[in-house]
Order: sequence, then C-alpha cells, then structure tokens
Amino acid sequence: MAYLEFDSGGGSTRAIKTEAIIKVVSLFGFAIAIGIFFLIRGIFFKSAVNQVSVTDSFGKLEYSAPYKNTLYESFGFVQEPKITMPLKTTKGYVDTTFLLDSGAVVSTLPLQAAQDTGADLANAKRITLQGFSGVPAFAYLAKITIKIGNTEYELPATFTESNSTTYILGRKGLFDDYTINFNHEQRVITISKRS
Amino acid sequence: MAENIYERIHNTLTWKRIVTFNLILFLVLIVPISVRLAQQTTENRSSAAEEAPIVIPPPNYPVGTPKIDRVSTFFGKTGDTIVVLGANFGDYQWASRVYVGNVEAPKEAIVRWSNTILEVKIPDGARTGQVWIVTNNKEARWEGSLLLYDVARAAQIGLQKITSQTGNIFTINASGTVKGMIEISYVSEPVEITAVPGINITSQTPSVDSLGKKMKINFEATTSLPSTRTELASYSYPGLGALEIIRAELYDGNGKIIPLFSEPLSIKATP
Repeated sequence: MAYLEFDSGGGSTRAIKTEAIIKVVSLFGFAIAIGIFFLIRGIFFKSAVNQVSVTDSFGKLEYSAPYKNTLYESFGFVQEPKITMPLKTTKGYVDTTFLLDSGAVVSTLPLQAAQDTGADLANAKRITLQGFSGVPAFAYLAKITIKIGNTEYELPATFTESNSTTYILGRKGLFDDYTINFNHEQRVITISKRS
Repeated sequence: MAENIYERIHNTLTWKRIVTFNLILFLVLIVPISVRLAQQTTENRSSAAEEAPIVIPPPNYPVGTPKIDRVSTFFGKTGDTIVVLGANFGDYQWASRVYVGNVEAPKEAIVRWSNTILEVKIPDGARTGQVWIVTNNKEARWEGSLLLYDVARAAQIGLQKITSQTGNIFTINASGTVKGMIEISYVSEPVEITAVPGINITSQTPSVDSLGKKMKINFEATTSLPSTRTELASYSYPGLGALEIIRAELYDGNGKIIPLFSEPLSIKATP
C-alpha cells in the first residue's frame, strides 16, 4: 500500500494562519465596533453644559437641558432646575419655562395659564393648597399637554390662584413615567424614557 | 470494536468545544440580560422615615362661641373643597361637626380643621343650603347659602376689569332673575357701585369682619334678566388690593334661589 503525502510549505502555513486570525476577528467584528462606539461616544458626543439635546429614536426618548442660573437678592446666583418645554395652548405649542420640582406632588400653573391652555375651570375639581403662611389657596385640577422631544405627553396639573405660583412640573404623571436625573456635577437635567 | 456511548461523548465533547459553546451562549444571552438589568427598578427600603402616628390631645374646646365670617367660595360641586373662615372652631375636630349644604360632612371630607379655618369637601348628598358648625354644643351658622351648581344649567356672575380702577359686574344665563344680592370684599376705599339702567340698587351696606372690609349690595331688576351676558352695575375703586365677590344670590319671580357660580378668573378683580 502506498501513502501520498502533501507538504504545504512554510509560506502557505503563514497565509492560512493570517487568514484564520482575520476570520476570527471578523467573527467578532460587530461586537468590537459597538464596543469602540460606546467608548468614544462619551468623549465625542457628550452633551455640553449650555445645550438642550433631544434623542427620540429606537424607543428611547431622552431630553437634556442645562441648569439655569437665577440671581436672588439674598442668596446670590442659585442653580435652578428650570427647563423650557412646549406647552399646548389654544394657539398651538408655546415654549414655556417650568421649574422641575421633585418635591411638588403635582404640576402647578398660575390661574391665568388656564385661559391660555383652554382648561375648563368651571367643571374642574376644586381643591386647596397650603402656602407658607398657612392660608389655603384654591387650585383647580385639570390636565395639560407638553411635548418632550416629538412626543406629546398629557399630565395632571393644578391651576392655582396663589400669587406666587410659577410654572412647576411635579411628580404626578411626569416622575411616574420618566426617569429624571438631576446631574449637579454636569449641571444638566436629563429626562428619559424607554418604551 | 464498537464504541460505547461514554467513549463517543468523551471523544466528541472536547474541552475546546465545551469552552466554545459556553462562549457562544454567553454572547447570545449577555444582551437580553444586560437590557433586563438596566431596566429593572431599583428599590430602596428604609425604616428611618416611618410615618409617626398622629397624636390628638384630649378635647379642649375654646371658651368663646364659634363664629363663621365667610365661606369661600359660596358655590361648588360635590367633591369641591370650601374654606370656612371664622373663630373658635377648636384646634382639633374632636366631637365637633360641620354641616355643608344641609348635610353633615363625614370625617373623610374634612381636609383641615383649625381654630379659625376649616377646609371641607362638599359631601355626597349636599344641596344648595346652609353651612354651620357645632362645637361643644355651641352652634355657628353662616348667613349665606352655599350654592351647588351644574355648569350647564347654572347662572354665572363675575367681575370684568376695564381699567386698573374700574370695571363692571355681569351675569350670564341668569334668565328669570328679578332681584339679588352681591357681597364684595375690598381693600381700598371708596368703592362705588353704579347700577346700569333697568337695575335698582335698593341698599348698599358696608361692614367689616375678621378678614377685612366688605359691602353688601341688594338690587332689583325692573324686568327679569335675560340669559345673555348682562351688565348689572359698574364699579370703581382706588385700585389698591383686590375686589372679590364673596357671596351672591339671585332670585326668580317666585322668590326661589337660582343656582349660580363664578369662573375662577372672573370672581376677583386685581388692579
């Protein structure tokens, strides 16, 4: 019986080895590319401090806005988590600045805003809110619509006759459905939601 | 010689294949596991902020007789909150009772009870009628009527500001009204109310209570008011502080009270 032996030679062995390595690397090429993307994303695509950014794709909604500086007579400049968002009014969406208040139970707007938003106060439930002085102020329970990115979002709100009321976004509705991150180090507020 | 099953498993499953299989399994499962962990809610439990039980001291009723100065607002729907302002209600409810729209308000309807301020939800079964409290067997009644209304059928009254010092008092959907009463609170004086033609002011009575100055205006209409928006009178004042309708009642030809409300934006006029 005769045996036929085939000698591939040194050069051919190296070519096969190189090709094998390339194939192995190519096998995990996608994972490596994704890994590199996530690594450099934090360096090149980071939100700047004075920039509002909205990401609204792939089922992920993220709204980032910088803190705002407010000058107080007694306290000097104070970083305030104020964000400007489109509020639905009878004349369309109007950019409105809200104070994002995790301490507020529900979003609160001045009574005059009811006229702009077209809220029906005569049919709204009337409640009382406690002020600092202990004197109750009436508030009317209704709903408002804001836009986060391109997404319309309806949430409960009270319209209050208290003179000191500003536009406040509170916990009910918004904090239930969105993750809100107050990043004091970066001086940025991020509202995000995954569908 | 035929291989047995153990030898075949031993020969087939090399260590290389086992490691490769586990690696592929890891790569397949790492994505859904990571997503699942990232979306999981973090729950923090702490007993440090447990709610302290409310301790109500034993009854210590005020010596003076209770008194109701105002009920704000003078109209409402079932479930709406009204504020009863006065004195000597007691610091806690204890065994005191409050009646709203002729029915007793249950404990759940009491939002806040203090010696001078009660916040009460208009209870189920309430109807247009009186508001009173009974504290330590002493009774205090509000002289007005709490008006329960339905927007579709009720009349409306309000103040319309024209300038920072002038404006008018109007009604809407008040058909059949032949007489009425409006009580307005104010800060700066003089407050002058001038009736429009067809309305006769029969009396204007200024008074003061613990919350400030007010004026009660009684009027009669020469012909019953229409359902359209109708001006009753014009007002003028120095333009300091607010004017507010704190009470109003409209009556038809049979002396029956007409359901009435005021829009929150028109119940008060500010300079």
